[in-house]
Amino acid sequence: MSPRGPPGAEQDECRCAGIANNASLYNLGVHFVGSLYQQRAIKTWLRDQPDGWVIASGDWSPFYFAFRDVPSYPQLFGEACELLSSAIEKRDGEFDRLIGVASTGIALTGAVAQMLRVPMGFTRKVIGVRTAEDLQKATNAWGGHSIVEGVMQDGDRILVVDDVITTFTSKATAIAQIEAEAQSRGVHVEVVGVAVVVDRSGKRSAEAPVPVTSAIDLLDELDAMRVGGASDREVDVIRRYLLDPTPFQNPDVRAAMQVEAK
Amino acid sequence: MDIYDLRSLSKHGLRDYSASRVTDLATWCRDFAEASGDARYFSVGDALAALADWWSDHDERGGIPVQVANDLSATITRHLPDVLDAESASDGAQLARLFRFELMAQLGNVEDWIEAGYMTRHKPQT
Repeated sequence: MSPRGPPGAEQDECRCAGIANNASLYNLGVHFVGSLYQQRAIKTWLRDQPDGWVIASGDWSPFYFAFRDVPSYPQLFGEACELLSSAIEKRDGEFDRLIGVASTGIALTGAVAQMLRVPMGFTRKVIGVRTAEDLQKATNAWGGHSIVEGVMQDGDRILVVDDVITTFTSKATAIAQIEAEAQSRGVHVEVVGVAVVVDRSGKRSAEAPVPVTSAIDLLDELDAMRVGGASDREVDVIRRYLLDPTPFQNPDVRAAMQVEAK
Repeated sequence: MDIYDLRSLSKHGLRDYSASRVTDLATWCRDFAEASGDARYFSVGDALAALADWWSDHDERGGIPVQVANDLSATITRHLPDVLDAESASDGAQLARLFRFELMAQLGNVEDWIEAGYMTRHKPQT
């Protein structure tokens, strides 16, 4: 939990009620990550799915982050919103508006925008558009449709909000949507960053074209999964995978892991 | 992308295919359908575009279960060759329609994967 400092650190000044100080945030973060594992919102090959998962690049992954269920559980969702609000609040003064990314990001943004008393909007899911390039092609082919809901004012500085970041692809698409929508409305806006609950990029989000703020950087806070009952083996594999997924693409390595899980 | 890539997909399934390549193939299918008037390629393109969208949607969270990818590959290799080898465009279009329905029915979510036994259920805190 290094980004927020150790327990006992001085209390931040918070403009919204209910946002905790650094020490309690640290404990909340540990509890949250432990709960994600314990409640199976973080699923692993060893406990939940021996064959693992295939990501869109065709590569294999040993774990899955099922955040979509989290809003169904008020305590866990409340913790997510409190942690994200605190992370976003550290960027106070840098943004005017939050825009949630469809679909899971919308529920989060609604809750966080209310906690922080800032205006929000959200992107619409555009069928057939996976990347910023796809969006450009679609816009060229079919012309402009409303692809962002909510008010955008000239000069707005926008913070994009979502549940999780792995690669930057879906965030780049959301940013392209916001810029295209602003252009069609004749206003100028600036996307100043992205905020997520969980960064599972293995630090690669630091190379993103805009600053990425996360409530939980999974690589830093993996050990908290043990609070929820994760084994040393699961924590070790996920850590090594986040740092470098390449060795896990070896079919022999995967076969051995499948045998281990079964 | 061209017909050889589509043939390769029909033979090997999603092995060696990323969502991005599937999207490119879907685009080729739809362009070819419009150019040729052969509706089977439109149905195939529609199904592949939906597959790529859905796969990408799950990407940030960790992808799709390996068994689901295998099931999709099985559907592709079972049906797509017949679609492409059909005697006439109209026969092919009928088969393509069935292929599209079957493939799109498999584009489920976490709850479907749990029901299929491919994942464990979310466990509420007690």
